[in-house]
Amino acid sequence: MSKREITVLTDVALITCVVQRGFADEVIAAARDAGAQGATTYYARGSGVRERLGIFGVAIDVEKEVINVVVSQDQLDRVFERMYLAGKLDTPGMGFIHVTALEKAATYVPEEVKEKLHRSVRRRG
Amino acid sequence: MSGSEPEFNVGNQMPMPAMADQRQITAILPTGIGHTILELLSLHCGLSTASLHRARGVGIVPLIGKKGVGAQIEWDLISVIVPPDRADEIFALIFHEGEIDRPHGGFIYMGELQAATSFMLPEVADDPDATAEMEITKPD
Repeated sequence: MSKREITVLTDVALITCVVQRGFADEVIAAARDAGAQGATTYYARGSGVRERLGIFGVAIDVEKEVINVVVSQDQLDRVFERMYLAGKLDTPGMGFIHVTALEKAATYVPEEVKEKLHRSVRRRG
Repeated sequence: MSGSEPEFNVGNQMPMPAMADQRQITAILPTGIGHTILELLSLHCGLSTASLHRARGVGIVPLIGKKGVGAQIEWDLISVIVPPDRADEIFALIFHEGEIDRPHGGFIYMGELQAATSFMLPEVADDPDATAEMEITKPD
């Protein structure tokens, strides 16, 4: 195994939001406005309420967009709320949002950010 | 497989063996790297619980300066279910082999699952003719 180190991020959560196709951009913009660094989106096929609505079901697109956003626990409530409102998820058939607790996450962390973190830990210690 | 293995019984159906404490590792990698990692997980780690799909990423692309903010790039999204005793090892493997520790290298995260069943592939008898054919048609 490589001896390179991993800067592990803890206290993070994954927000998953399922919306009708075409609605993802607005939800992502709201998430980023609230402080999320990025998001990934992919298409999925949904089923369920559309069938139950009969002829009214044509108003609900069967093609869905699934948005994944990883945020820190501090940002979680704010980002979640903004995404919920932007996706109009209080309207029946518009979509669904949920949060999954994560154990850890990792990505590229620039040296200057690492140094800043070390300095703040030393100051607190 | 972990020590605690709850058995789920749904109605009168046959008991479903479910494993607790399994971890789901998800990696967002630059397009093309996902397949290499999938192969690595399958051939070298013996994991058949990995899946790969494409996703559209929205984030900060500093290369293009301010204009890059909000740019959309295609990413490979790998998801793999691993036993708890191998979770950290597989996490580190994907992180290093996927070269996530470089700018625009992607992102990786891991979470605990409440329950997961095992995924067993069917036994396939060795066919020497098929192997020979594969070797002949193998590209350079």
